[in-house]
Amino acid sequence: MSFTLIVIFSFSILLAGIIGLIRFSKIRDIYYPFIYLVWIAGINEVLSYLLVTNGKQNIINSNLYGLAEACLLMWFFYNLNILKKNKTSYFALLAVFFVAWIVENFFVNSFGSSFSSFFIVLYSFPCVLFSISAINHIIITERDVVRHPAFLICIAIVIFFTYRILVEVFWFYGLDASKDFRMNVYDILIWINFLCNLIYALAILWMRKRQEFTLRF
Amino acid sequence: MDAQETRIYTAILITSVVLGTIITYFFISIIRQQRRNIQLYKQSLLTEITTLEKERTRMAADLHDEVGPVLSAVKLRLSSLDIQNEADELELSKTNEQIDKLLKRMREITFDLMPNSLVRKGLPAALTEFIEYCGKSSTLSIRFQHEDLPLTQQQSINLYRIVQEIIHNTIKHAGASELLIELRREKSMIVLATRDNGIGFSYEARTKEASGLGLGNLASRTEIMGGKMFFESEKGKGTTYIFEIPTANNENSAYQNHLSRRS
Repeated sequence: MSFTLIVIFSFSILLAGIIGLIRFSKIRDIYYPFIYLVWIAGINEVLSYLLVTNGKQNIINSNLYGLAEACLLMWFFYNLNILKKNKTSYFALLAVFFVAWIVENFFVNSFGSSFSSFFIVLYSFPCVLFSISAINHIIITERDVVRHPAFLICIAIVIFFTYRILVEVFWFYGLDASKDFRMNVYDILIWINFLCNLIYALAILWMRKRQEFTLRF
Repeated sequence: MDAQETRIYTAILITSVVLGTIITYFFISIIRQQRRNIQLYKQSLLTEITTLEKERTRMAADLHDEVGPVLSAVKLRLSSLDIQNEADELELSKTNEQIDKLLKRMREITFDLMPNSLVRKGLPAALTEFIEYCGKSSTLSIRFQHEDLPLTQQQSINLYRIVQEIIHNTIKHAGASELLIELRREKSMIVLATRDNGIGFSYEARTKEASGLGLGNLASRTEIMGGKMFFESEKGKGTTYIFEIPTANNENSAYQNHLSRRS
């Protein structure tokens, strides 16, 4: 895949970010962590582009973004009531992520020397599992699920993080394969990421301020 | 990539496509199943509410047409008695008073069950009458603004019940001094909006106990009209309810068909 195409696909998150910026005052506060995440993702993509085009590596900002993404997604799931508003579980999860990130970035590897694949796989699992729980919850409490922002976001999270685990495993073990091979595997994630960014944009477009009340089946 | 890597890469691509297809199928099946469940759920709600309304109408008619005239006749016959004894006359006067109270209470119950004005004059007239009645027995000041709307009888009944429930809730729980009720048309939607200046409530707390309070009732009636119910409430900042109901020729055609099959 050409570098230009990779950049265009990566920058597609800016579309969701701009929609979020325009509609921020019309969005319910439970979605704010997700909007912050989209903005941080947009900043990270721009920063990565600037670093790479200037011949530098984007490892540090990507690893920091990974930590921010894990924390913001947990906050988002907490708001969706997946953790049953249990603050102890929520902070325990954040603590586990933080410790794992520190260990991988400062003890296993030296800081800024490699991408934190282990940490990505670690937080991708709860993200996928929590999304499935959220989807199960939404289908019994909501009516128009196709236009439900949390439903769309959770679908995108399941798709993206499932593939991400798959792809990161290749980076993690390397399989003694060539760089070309690993880059080709990574290209799959770039396509998936593009699809998910479009779903995020659509979800943000359908976020509403008002609380809809529906009965459970 | 060498030949071995190309083969592995092809295998990964195929795995990815298969995984993608499975995930997509999984989500599509969830959505389809959820739609089927909604249909069944709506059908059951519709049957329940239609039965309830028919029973209310029957009871209101029985009270109005059978019990009411009998009571009036009893009162008339008692009035025609020629009583000489002072003690008996006092007793008769008390009995007449009790019959008057009974007749008044019966009219209230009949009105509550199914107001005549709702069937004869439509929703705005019935609501105005109900608001006047509530004004006599509570300190809540209610303002009602409305446009002329093309409502079916079933929509009128359901919207009337919704407003009735909101007014009762506001008097009982909200501690409000003012309530604004608006009924208007927005594009292909009929919008019923109410706003009070009461104590408000927490969404989380209220949804947990929704079945015990009127919210479940409001949601059921909105659901069978194919509409959506929203509310905004914060402690100390009052409560706003908004109901968006599709006009009769949209969502309600199924509801009308169902009613015509039942009657």
